[in-house]
Order: sequence, then C-alpha cells, then structure tokens
Amino acid sequence: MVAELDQLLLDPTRLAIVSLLVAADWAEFGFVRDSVRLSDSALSKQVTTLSKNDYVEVRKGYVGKRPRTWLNLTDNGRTALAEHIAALQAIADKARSDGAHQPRG
Amino acid sequence: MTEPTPEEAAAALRTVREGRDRVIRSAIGSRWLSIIGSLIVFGYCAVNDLVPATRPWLTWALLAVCLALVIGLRTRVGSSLLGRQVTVSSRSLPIAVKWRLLYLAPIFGIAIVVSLTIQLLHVPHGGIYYGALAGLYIIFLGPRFQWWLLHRQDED
Repeated sequence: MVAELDQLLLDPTRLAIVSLLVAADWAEFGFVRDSVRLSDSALSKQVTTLSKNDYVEVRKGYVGKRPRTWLNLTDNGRTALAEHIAALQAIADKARSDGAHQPRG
Repeated sequence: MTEPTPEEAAAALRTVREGRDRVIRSAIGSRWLSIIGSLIVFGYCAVNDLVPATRPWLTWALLAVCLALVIGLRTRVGSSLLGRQVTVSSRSLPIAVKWRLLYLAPIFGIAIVVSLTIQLLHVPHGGIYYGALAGLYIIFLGPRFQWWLLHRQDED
C-alpha cells in the first residue's frame, strides 16, 4: 500500500504543531505557541482547523486559579501524521535512489 | 494536490524529528524536579543512616511521595503543577524495559561501589555518602543519561 500525503499537513505550521503533539499525551497551549513561534490568535486559528478535522482535541481547565488550555493529538491525527510521514519518507528515499542511479558527469 | 519536492520532504521530516526532540527535552529538562528528587533521596538515606529506627515509616513515606509524583506527572493538571508543560506520550515514545533498567543501573552501581568502599575502608555513615552521590547523579547526570537513552532506543 502506498502512503498518501495529507492535504492538511502539507502546511508547514500545521505539520510543526502535530509533530510536537505526536510525542505528547497532552501539551499546554503556551508550550506549543512558544515552540512553533506563533501568536495566540494564529495558533488558535490553526488549532481550530485541526480540531474541526478531528486531528486535535482541546481541553480547558484550571491550575490553581489560572486558566489553562491543553492540546492532544487524536488517534485520527496520529494515523494521518504517520501516513504523511511515510509519504514524505518515500519522496525523500526515491530522490536518494534516483540520485544514486544517475550517471556521474 | 501539489507533491513536495525532495528538499521540501526532507525539511518536513526534519520538522517532525525536531518537534519530538523538543517535547522530550522539555519533559526531562525540568531541573528543579531533579533537585527535589535528589533532595528526597539524600534526605531518606541520611535519616536512615542517622536514625535507623525511622526506617519502616520513612520507607512508606518515600514510596507515597514517589507514587504521588508518578501519578501527578501522568495527569495534565499534575504536570502543570509540577512545572511540566507537556506529558510525554508512552504511545509514540515507548521506553523498553531494558532502557529503564539501564537508567537505574548507575544508582545500583553507586550503591555497590559505596558499600565496598565502606567495608574495605571502614568509613562511618556510608548511607549519607551514598545519598549524596545518588542525589548528584539525579541532578547532573540523570537528565543527560535519560536523553542519551531515548536516542539510543530510537536507533535500535
């Protein structure tokens, strides 16, 4: 079976967000925002897109009196990312093998 | 759908790796948590050595603290309270038993070396020395060793 690229994850910012979340059970909104260097509103927009497609789950809560937002990559999101990575790897591997078979000038 | 060029695909794969590394670094990079852990170990060893009668209840207290920390670090709110912004997923980063044991191996190694030294040189209060060395390992070498182990596991 040939892995397919995911349209949603072709966007580098969205890919960076799900790449962080794949290694985490839960990540704080602030951690993701600082890691991908986005503003609150820009990250909110991307998270809304991802959660509408059931890639990301959002939970809100409090730690003491401070409100916090946590993000989690859903099983659907994990599957999509795994397939996207496999497709990217296939492109990179193909280019490498094509390069190796090309005659040297 | 436009297919990425090989260069774009390689850059995207790098982004994925960097994201995962950042999460691991954030999870094991909590220095103050290492300091608290090492103080608990040192305190336990020192009190055990100086007041052996306290050993039974102190061991239970230590186990209760460890359990609270482990449970806390597995929950969103607990992690945040302990200063960790992420909880590392055991689904995407399953840590094999052999690597977990290897992480603990230096603690046992220190115990063997200290007990041999105490027996050979007749040093008093060996428990305190052991607590200090184990505490130093937890603060300074533990996080680095944990980082190295996770990368070694990836290569397997």
